Amino acid sequence: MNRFVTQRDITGSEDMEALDQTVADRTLLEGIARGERAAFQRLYTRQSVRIFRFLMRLVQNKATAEELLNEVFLEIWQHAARYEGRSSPSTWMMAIAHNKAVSSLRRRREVTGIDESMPETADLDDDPEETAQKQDKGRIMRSCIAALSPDHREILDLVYYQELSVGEAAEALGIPENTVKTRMFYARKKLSELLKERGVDRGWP
Amino acid sequence: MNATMDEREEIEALLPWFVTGKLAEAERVRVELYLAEHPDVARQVALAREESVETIAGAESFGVPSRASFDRLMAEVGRHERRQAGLLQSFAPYLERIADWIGGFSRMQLGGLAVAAALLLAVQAVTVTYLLTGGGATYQTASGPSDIAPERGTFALVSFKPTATAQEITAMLAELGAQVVDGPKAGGLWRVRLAAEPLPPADAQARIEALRAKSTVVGFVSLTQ
Repeated sequence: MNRFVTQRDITGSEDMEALDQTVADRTLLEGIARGERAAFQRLYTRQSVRIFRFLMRLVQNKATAEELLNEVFLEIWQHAARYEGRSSPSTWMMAIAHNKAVSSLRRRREVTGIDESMPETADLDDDPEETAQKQDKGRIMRSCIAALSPDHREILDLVYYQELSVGEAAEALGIPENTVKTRMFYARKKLSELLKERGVDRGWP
Repeated sequence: MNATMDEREEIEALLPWFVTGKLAEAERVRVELYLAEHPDVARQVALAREESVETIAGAESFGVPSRASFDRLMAEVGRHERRQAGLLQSFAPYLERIADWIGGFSRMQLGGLAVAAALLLAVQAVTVTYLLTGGGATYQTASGPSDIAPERGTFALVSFKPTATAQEITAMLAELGAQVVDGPKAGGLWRVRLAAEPLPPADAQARIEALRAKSTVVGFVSLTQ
């Protein structure tokens, strides 16, 4: 008997649901390619929240995330016919969102001169142990995730929130699968280091 | 020892996907077997699950895009539609002529025209090759060709598939930044401007290939002066 229950075991019909969603999204993209506004609005309703949250994770600003979300959907409206079905619609849309966010961060870096590829140091209090006692661990972890570099925040979001497989994440980011695995590994490692600085020692790595 | 460490690191690298249920079957089985033999790694699974929970909680705290944002998007979609409609209108005279011209033929005539167009292109290709390779005698007027201002740009002779609709032709031309400037000529060919400036041969050929790739809309394509 396996003691390690995965999410797949909990939701046995997950694969079928994912397949249904992919088929539904493909049908909507076909409608959008024919210029059907109703299909466009339905796709927006289905996908906008998760794409918006992905963008928020990266740019950390609501106005910018909304602006980029609209750029993503405008591109979908104009170029739905270019979707060739090589990846799932959600991965295809996530790749568009990734490119928009990367461009936005680059522009911001050029304007402000702040290199956000370097992780921030999480706000350190005078007494880390005391802080750990005061604040709940979850809140500290969310704060440390927010302090990671955009690359590391992005991979955590794609894997844990968007639930992309290794192959899908590679497709969305345009990088090899092994790079996805190592990027995720280093993101988690960095997260552990930041947590340790905040008084939460996870005993790993 | 190293081999053991390497395997452990490999397994650790897979744990995030193990907890989200997104591992390929073979990898999932591999992780499960490793976990059964190395109970201490269960702690790593718990850490990955913890990260997953907090990443999801963080994402949910971001809320949802505002209604105003959606309204701005739909306004932009409307502007885009109007631009497209304007483009369609600007091509309308040519498209009507294409539609009338195609509509005036029977299926047999269309077949004959396609053959005629193919022959015409073959003759044109031979002629152009002959001239470009310096074959045959040429002559020049005393004033020379520089006195005649040729129309600037890069052009192609194009025939459209009889099944292509006016909207498809317009959309295809708009996508490639091309415009119909003359036609129909003999054989159902249209003169299409591919670029406002004369392009280097490689670039011009790339535009031709882009047109050829639109095989549901475009029949024959050949560079022309």
